[in-house]
Amino acid sequence: MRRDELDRFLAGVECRALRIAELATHDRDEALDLVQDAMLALVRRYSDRAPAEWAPLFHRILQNGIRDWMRRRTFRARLRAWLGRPSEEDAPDPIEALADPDGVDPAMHFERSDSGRHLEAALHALPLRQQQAFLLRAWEGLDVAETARAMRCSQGSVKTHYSRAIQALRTRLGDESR
Amino acid sequence: MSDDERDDAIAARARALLDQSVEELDPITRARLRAARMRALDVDATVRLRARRLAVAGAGALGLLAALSWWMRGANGPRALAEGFEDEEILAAGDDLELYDDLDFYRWLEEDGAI
Repeated sequence: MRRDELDRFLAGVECRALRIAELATHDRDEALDLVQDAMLALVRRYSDRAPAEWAPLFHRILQNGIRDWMRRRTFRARLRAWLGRPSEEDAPDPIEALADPDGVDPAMHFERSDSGRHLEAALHALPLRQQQAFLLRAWEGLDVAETARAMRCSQGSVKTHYSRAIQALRTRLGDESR
Repeated sequence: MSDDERDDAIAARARALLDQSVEELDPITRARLRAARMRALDVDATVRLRARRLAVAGAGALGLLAALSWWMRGANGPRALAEGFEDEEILAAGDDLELYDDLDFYRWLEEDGAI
């Protein structure tokens, strides 16, 4: 019974969670790992909680995972810079150069869409906290209190981050939004 | 258009584009997400099953231990208790304890008719 409820909840949230993680990391595999870790942690630690609590808890776990991932990446980049080695991210990925056997990559289709590409770039350019506040409020539909729980900050901070995110998006997207 | 309306428009447009990006996720990614979800749910079921089995085994072991200790007390208890009472009788009698040590000698005297 509880397993079915959890399954339904996770099935409903997993694709958007992947996109949220992907917007932060710009890496689908890393995003998939983060979403999987968040699913495992939610099921193990919070499956006994009321289903209404799952969404903010799941997003809190996911956002913590994203923050940890960013810290690790920054640390590795600093270490590489200190050791004088080039970043792995700068090196071309040979797998990316391979042709898609199916010929169609929906992610690339989205990339080709101008609006989608501009929005993705604008969202990726936001500081992480603003990006989180915007995605959780505007896309996930969490209210201010739930977003504050997910982000582990005050409701006032959520409002500030959200407002700054909107301002930045308005500036970056310009006339497109009118 | 007011600032609030413009902000709402930006949020609505972002929502629509993000929803579109989700709809366009490729089948392989969707399958990987589904597999990750199943793994999370199965791991939880396994952990819970193991915990339940451990609890049952623990309760069984405790029951067995309790039964064993009850049985041991039942088997050894009265004899140990009786021995304890015999010792107490000797001590409480107030007789000279050396008398008990030389009991064989007094029996021999009695049989020999010396007393």
